[in-house]
Amino acid sequence: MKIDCTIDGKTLTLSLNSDKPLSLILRENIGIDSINHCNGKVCGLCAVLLDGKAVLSCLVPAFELNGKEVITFEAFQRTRGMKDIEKAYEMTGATPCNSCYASRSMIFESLIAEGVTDRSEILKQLSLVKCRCMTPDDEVNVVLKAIEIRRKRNVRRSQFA
Amino acid sequence: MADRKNFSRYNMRCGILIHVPQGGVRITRINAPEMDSRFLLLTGNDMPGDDSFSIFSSSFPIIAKETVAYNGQVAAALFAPDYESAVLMANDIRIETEEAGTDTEDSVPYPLEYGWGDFNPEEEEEGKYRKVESSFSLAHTAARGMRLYTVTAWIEGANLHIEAPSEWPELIRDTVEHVTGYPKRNIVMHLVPYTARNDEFLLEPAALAAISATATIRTGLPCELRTETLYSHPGISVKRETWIDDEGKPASEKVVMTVDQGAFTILPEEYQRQACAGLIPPYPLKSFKAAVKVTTSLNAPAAFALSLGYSEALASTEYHISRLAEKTELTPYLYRASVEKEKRRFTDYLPGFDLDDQKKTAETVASRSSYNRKWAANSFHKRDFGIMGYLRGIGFASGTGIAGFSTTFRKSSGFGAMMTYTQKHNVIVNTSYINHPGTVRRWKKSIADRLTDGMPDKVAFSDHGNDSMDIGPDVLSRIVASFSSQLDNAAKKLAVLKEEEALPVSLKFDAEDSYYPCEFENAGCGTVVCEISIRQSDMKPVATALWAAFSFPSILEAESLRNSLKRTLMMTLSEFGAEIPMDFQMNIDISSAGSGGALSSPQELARGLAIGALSDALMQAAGKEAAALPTSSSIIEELFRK
Repeated sequence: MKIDCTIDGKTLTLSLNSDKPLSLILRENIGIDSINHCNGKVCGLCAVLLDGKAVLSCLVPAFELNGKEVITFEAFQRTRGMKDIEKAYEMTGATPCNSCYASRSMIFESLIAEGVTDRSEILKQLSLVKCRCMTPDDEVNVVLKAIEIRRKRNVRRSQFA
Repeated sequence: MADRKNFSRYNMRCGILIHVPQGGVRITRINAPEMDSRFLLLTGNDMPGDDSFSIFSSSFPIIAKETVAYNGQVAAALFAPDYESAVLMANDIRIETEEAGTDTEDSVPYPLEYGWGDFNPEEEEEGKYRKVESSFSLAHTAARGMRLYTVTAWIEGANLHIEAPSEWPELIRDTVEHVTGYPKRNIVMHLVPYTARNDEFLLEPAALAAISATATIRTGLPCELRTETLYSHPGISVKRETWIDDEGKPASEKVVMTVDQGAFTILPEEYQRQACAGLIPPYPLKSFKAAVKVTTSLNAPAAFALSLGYSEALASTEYHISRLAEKTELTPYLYRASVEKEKRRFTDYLPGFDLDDQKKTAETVASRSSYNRKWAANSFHKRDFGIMGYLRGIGFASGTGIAGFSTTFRKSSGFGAMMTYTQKHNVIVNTSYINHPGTVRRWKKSIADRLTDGMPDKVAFSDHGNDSMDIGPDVLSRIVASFSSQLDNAAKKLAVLKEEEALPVSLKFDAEDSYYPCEFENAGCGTVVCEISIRQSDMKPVATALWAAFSFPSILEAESLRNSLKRTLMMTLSEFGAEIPMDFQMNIDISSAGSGGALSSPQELARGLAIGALSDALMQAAGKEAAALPTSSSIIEELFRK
């Protein structure tokens, strides 16, 4: 089937099997090798932003992409949003391992953009990532710190505007 | 590393591996359907050169030719225009096999035996000594992980390009040269970022690169091979007997460790030495006998998995000390305090050193975790809670880390270096050592502080030549620690010589000069307490909290060290079957002893202590059979059914 979607800011029309998972589309059709594909084992290492919300790309079939916007870590890492998260990593002294860095950062971004501060909600969302390189406390601290950093940045921006 | 060529995916071949699930069989025939020129099937007989690759003195087949040495060995690789076609075609390929005996025992070394004293408690008067036995086991694990990775090869002009994640790029170049005959100088590596928490990217990428390169040469097109990471950890079994006197003090001990390294062994002699160092207990003994046996099996060859045996051996020792404590009805912390002396005994494997720092870390962790109170409460409730028990346990492990490879290995591998102070007041270091960029930066800085007024630009490390290992796995980087101290000593000596002698002045040094007569140097110590409970609904062990304290001779970056230790502790608990809940608490304390000595492989120490504490906690919560790791809810459920 033909699917119209936007991936990392590029509007594309793809001819695909309707049930092909997004993780494989990104690896095989777009050439983004950093996205993992675990054959449905739900490793949590393939998170992308689908219309701004973090989802596991291995669980998104091609037909659901029609008219949607996908942002992968490849594009997200160059944004101001990622800078906020990096700053939060630095300030809390907790950084994810290289293996889950991209995926966890995407989920952090989704939580920060929604302004989620509830501990259980944060941990519920982050439980998508199976990698155990961060303690729950560290995960919560990173989100809260990044929300604080972003709010300060937004306030500064509105003052200058 | 050069930039990857951006070729179209439509002009490349996508490959998958075809495995034989059962080892110990002989391939009689590979039945493949008719394939057109878009497909390529590679078997062991299609490899142009030698179908094997070597690491140190061990040799591994790339594709099984006749005999399948281990379960899941690669029997063929299939390349197609896209992955879907490759998978569909692979479904039609049938591999016929027949039973065959395997003979891989040749590579197994003799058991390593070590001990002292000839005191035999069995000859003493009856009832004077009691025997305490324990068995500790870690099952051999070999499984394809969830991480998918690709290895790509393509030809551009006279160069063969390889793109792969690899802990050892030099091994890939060597293997590709060995298999394809392509000159090494024309093989260009493009390294893909990776995380190898179990050294998954040590061996397999080299084999995959050789297959992809062969396919590229055969087809003239870029070829990509995709597979899931293989995680393989050796199986360990430690049986220990200790005779204790009336007061519970150990008098004599015998220990036998058996290591199943899978179908092929990697550095088995060094593994034995490191394991032996971990088996020696910290308390004084009249006699001690240890034996480390390496065996082979039909399992996939085990990678280092962060340790060359020391972690596992240390964990078994810690587990056993807790069993001795049980017999004396003391908590393991108090028992250790009662039997350990101020100084550790000098052995051929570890020097004698003060246990002050280690005792301090134990005290810190025990008080923060209220260890004695919780241990006593768990033991008391265990007896009174009927059939199911209290299902809670708290484990304790405290030990020392080791630095570098053994003296014997370093002598045989002949790593040496020469430091020269030139007439232009520069420093040149010639070495065939591992040259991890971050480490070299650190070395340059320390030499610059002593010799070139803090200007690292004036310190140069020579080209390491073709024989050097460039970026080795973590466990090989352990050698860096001992070399750092040698460099520092050489810089100190050279600082004096340059004032006294005519320039240029050189100093040659090598591994033989240091740490003789001990095999290892101690580097840091730590204590870990792990609290677990078994969830009644599904019998899953859940780690509720962990307290740790470490003391290292020197700390370069405290924050990154803390992060790294946290990760190692969390991942070790998770790897061996403990669930990490949302309310999991971790308290970690790191201190520097300020002695300026070598800091080496803190992860290995943390891993050993975490395994020891987890098995001890499981023992308290659910009994000794639950302590055989990795554990799971089904194992624990089975225990209660018995």
